[in-house]
Amino acid sequence: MSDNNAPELKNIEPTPGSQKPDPILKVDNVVRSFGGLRAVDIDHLEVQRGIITAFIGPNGAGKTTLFNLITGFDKPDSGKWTFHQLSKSDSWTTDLSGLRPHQIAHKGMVRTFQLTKSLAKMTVLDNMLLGAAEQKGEFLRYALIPSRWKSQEKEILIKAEALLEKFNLSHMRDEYAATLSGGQRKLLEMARALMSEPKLILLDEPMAGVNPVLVESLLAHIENLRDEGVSVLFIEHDMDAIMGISDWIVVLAEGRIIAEGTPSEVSKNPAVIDAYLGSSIAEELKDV
Amino acid sequence: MIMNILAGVDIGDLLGLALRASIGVQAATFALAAVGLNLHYGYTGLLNFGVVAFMAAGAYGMAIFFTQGWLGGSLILAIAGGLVFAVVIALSIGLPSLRLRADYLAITTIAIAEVLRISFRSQRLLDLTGGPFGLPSIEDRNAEVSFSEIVTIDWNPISDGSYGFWRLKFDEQTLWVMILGWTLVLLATLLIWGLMKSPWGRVIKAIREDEDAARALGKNVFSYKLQSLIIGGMIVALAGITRAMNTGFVETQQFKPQTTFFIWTVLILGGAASVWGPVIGAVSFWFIIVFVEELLRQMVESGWIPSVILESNDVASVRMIMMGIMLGVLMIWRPQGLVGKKEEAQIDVR
Repeated sequence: MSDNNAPELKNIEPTPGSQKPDPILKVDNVVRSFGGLRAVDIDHLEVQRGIITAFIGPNGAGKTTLFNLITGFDKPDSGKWTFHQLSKSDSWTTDLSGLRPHQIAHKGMVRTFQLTKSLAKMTVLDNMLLGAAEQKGEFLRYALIPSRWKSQEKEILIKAEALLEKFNLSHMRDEYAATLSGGQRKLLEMARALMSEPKLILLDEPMAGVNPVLVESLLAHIENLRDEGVSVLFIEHDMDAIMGISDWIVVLAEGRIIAEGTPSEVSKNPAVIDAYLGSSIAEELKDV
Repeated sequence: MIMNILAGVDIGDLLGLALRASIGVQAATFALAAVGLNLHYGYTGLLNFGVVAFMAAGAYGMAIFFTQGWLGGSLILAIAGGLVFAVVIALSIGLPSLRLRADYLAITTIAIAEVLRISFRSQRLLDLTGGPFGLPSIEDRNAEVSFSEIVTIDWNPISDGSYGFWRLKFDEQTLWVMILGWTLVLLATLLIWGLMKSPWGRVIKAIREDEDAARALGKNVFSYKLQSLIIGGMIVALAGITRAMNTGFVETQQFKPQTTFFIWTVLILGGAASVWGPVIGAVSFWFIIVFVEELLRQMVESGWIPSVILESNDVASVRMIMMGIMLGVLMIWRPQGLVGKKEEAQIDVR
């Protein structure tokens, strides 16, 4: 197994909560309990900028709950998380904790859902146009004055058509989203999220329910995102997919991070094999 | 047997009466209210079961401001006051319930509509609302001091006389209110058409489809829903005001819950989420309801329906049963209504 093209990760300690050289997201002491169950209990987590990070873990490990928390769709009992940019020219930190979902999306962190939320009674193109951020025409006071937003709408349209082309959905442009296949809906949701040019995109099981032929192209799209400078965080169960495209893997079990590392490091980690992979998959991994 | 029916029934008379109703002021007010409800339900997915609350807010707001002379007795300002009252009602419904699941809005709207109606009727507010007697007070009504006088007489540019032909003859007052009413319908429809073509309308439709998807894409769903509730509510309030201008007074009997459901019927009949659906719906609704009622009445009077089964007094309630059956049939076989798009139909019973 070869680790992907992220040489800066070589020097990071593969331990839970390890520091990253250029983190885009830092999560501190985030706890969410449902009754007596601590669904999420993260002491510290840093997500490196510009790479593909995968969350893995058995069912009920708290992966989706953590996604919901950091995107504002659920409220933690405690904890904070921040968005970072640390470079010589441009350095800032934005506190995301306590913000509502649309505010977090405005800051540049956009998510997709495990059960695809394509807007079925809108056309594919309208789905895409909706994704663009900062649209003047979305303000009621400008809505009836097309001259205020027509030129922006044209720019958005060009962007949307380019993305549809890239995701092989151009031919479906004017169809209702309801007519798309499950895999195409996943593609549409991902393309739609990209319309706002997010800094960090969170994909919740992008491969679930997608036919194997389309999985390959989905994976290629995710790798492309990284190569274009978008940081990707995704949840997935498909081990081949994870090992194939992730630069860094965070392993969760029972709400806690039990391991972190590159795919090869994680697959050798005895704690991971015990807690999650189980013996049969461990056998499989030896042959890879 | 068919000859028998035709023997006692004057088809020309029936068509005339039905046509008359379908272009009348009642149809215009229903169309206007349905345009407002269409923004709420058809486009935004808000379950507003308190349509009549906004009608009452508009009509009573206008009537109170006018009869109390709070705004210098200006009718224009009193109408504006009625619209502001509708906005207050929209805020008091929306602020607590729009953050919650859709069904809470439905419950709140039903409740507010009844709270308003019963409050307006109460003895405590007698001086303000006229209690069960309504506004303007009976004496003022007899003395012909009414807001509707200003509209139908002072503002009326049409010279006295009778206009039209056949069954469709209207006096200058009725004709003027009809013109005003249908003009408002046209303006409101154009407003919705413009809004729905804009990016604002795109967000509104996205919220109808899936609120969380809209949130994840950075849209402030709560704010958009509140905007929709307010704009739609003001259009419905205009319907209430138009009706008050036609009847010449407001009283709580006009704002019973069934009016809400007639307007829902109009919207579903015409087609929710279509620009012209509410208008087509209102015209068809009044045509059908008057046609059926008159047909039954003539059949009863000509003895074709024996009085054991139906008497002419019962006809009004039978037409309601017919309406209910029609609504059921519509929802099963044509959920998109007369002019809606099947792909965008909200009601899908299959």
